[in-house]
Amino acid sequence: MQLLDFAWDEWAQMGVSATAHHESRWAQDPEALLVFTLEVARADPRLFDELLDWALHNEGLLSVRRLRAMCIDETDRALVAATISWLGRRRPRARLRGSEHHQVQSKLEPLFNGRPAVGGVDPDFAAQGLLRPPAEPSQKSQAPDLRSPINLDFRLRAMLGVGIRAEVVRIMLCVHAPWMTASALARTSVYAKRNVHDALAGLADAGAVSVFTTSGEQRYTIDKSAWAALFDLPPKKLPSHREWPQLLGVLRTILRWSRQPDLIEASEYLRASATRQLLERIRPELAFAGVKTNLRATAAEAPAALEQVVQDILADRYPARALTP
Amino acid sequence: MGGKNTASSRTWKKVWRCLTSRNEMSASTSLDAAGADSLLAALGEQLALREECYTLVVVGGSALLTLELVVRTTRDVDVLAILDGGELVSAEPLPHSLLEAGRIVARDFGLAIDWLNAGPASLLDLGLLEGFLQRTQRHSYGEALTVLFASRIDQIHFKLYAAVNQGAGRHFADLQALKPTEPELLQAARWSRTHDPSEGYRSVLLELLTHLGVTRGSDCV
Repeated sequence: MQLLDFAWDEWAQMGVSATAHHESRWAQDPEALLVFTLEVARADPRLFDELLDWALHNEGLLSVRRLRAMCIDETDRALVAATISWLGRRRPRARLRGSEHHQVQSKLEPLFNGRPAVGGVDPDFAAQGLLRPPAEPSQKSQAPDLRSPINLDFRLRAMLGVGIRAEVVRIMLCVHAPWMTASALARTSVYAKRNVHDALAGLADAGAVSVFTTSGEQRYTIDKSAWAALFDLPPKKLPSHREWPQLLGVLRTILRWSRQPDLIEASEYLRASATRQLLERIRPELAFAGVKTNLRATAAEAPAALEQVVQDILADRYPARALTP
Repeated sequence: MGGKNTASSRTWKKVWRCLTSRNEMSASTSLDAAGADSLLAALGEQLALREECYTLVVVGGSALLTLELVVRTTRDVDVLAILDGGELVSAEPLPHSLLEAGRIVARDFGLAIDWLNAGPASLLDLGLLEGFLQRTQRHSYGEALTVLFASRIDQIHFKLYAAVNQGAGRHFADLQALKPTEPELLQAARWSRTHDPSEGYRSVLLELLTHLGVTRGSDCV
C-alpha cells in the first residue's frame, strides 16, 4: 500500500487524474517512475489504466529509448513493450513502432495480481504474455504543471527537447555536488557514457555548463543561480535529486522477490536467509543511491533491515508542505 | 526453495538470540547444544536448496554437546570425514557446495566463516579405531544432511591424543568430563601411539595418564 500511495501521489502531481496529498520537493524521473508504476499498479488496475491514459496524453514528453533502458529484467521488458505497443496502436508514430511481437502468446499470465481477466483480451499485453481486458484511455489525464518542482524534467524537456541534454541539466541542477563526471551522469541518467559525453560537450560549447580537468578527468559544473533565475526561482528552491532509476529498480526487485511462490512456502529460517541474501544483492544500487544497507544484519535481523531500506528509499516523502491536512 | 518448517525453523530465532551479540560475533561467537543442532539444521536446509546431500562425520565439541556428553560451549563444528558410498573419505578440503552452504549459515547467524571446518581430518590418515563407523550416532537434519557423531569411546581416543599434543586446555577438560575408565584410557593410549610413535609423545602421554590416575601406563604403551 505504501508503494501504491507513493505512486499515486507522484503521478497526481504529474497530470494523472487523482488528488495529490503532498507536494514532492524532488524532481522526478518520468521513465523510472513509469516503469516502476507498471509493476506496482499490477495491484491497482485503476492506477495502471490511468497511467496508460497519462502516457497517451503526454506521449510526446516521454523517451521511449529511456523507458527501455530502465528495464532491469524480463518482466520490466514485457510490461514496457506492451505499454509502447498499446501507445503505438493509438498514436501511430515511428518511435512507438517497436520490434515487439503482436502475436498473442499461448500461455498468458494475469497482469493484475490475483484478478482473473474478464471481458476480453488486450492484444498488446497478450503479445507479451500478459492477460488483461482491453485497456481504453479514460481521457482524464492532463499535461504536467511545468512549474511544479517534481516536473522540472518536463520543463527542461520542453526547453531542450526529450533527450540526454534535459536529463543532464536536471541532474546537475538538482544534485548536491559541486561538479559531476560524465560517468556519474551516465549512470544517473541511464544513457551511455559516450552519448552523455557528447551532450556535455555541446552544452559546454553553448555555455550552459562549464568543464574543467582535474587529474586527467573532465568534470562538469553548472551555474545553478543562472538556471534558477531562468526558472524564476531562488537557487535554494531548486528541487532535490534522487537516484530514481536505482531506487525504483530496487523497489521492483524487492516486490518481485517477495512474490516468489517458493519463498512463500519456505521455512521461516530460509525466508530470513533469503532476505539476507537479497540485502547483499541490492546493496550496489543502494550504495550508488546513497542508501545504507545493514550488511552486518544476521538472518534474524534481515527482515527489519530490508524494511528499513524501503523506508529510506521513500524517506523525505512527507517533509514537504502537505496540501491537505 | 522447497524447505519445510523444521525444528530448526521454529527455534532458530531463539538460537540466534542465544548467540553472542552482534558486536562480539564471528570469532567469539559460541554455541551450546541447541545452537549447534540448529546450525546443522540450517546447513541441512541450505544444502537442500542447492540439491546437495552429505553425510558428515563430526567429532569434537559440537559432537560432545549434541550427545550430551559434556556441558560447555563450542565455536565450531569439526568434520572428521565424509561418508561417500559407504566409505569414509577425507573432509579436507570440504566440498565447495558444503563450504558455500556453510558460508551462508555463517552469515545468517553471525558466525566465523570457519564454523564448519575439516580441522580433525588428518585423524583419518593413520586410521580410526575398529568399529568406529558402527558406533557413531546418526542425526538427520532434513533430507540433505545426515551427521554421524563420534561415540564416547572414540571421543576419548581423540581427546587423549589431542590433550597430549596440546597440553592442558579444553581437550583435557573434555577428556575429564568424559570420565574415562582406566581400561578405556589405556586402549586410547595404545591407539594414539599408532599416530605418534615418538619417544617424546610417549613421555608426555605417560605423564598425562599418571595425572588421570592410571598407574600401569608404562607397562602398556
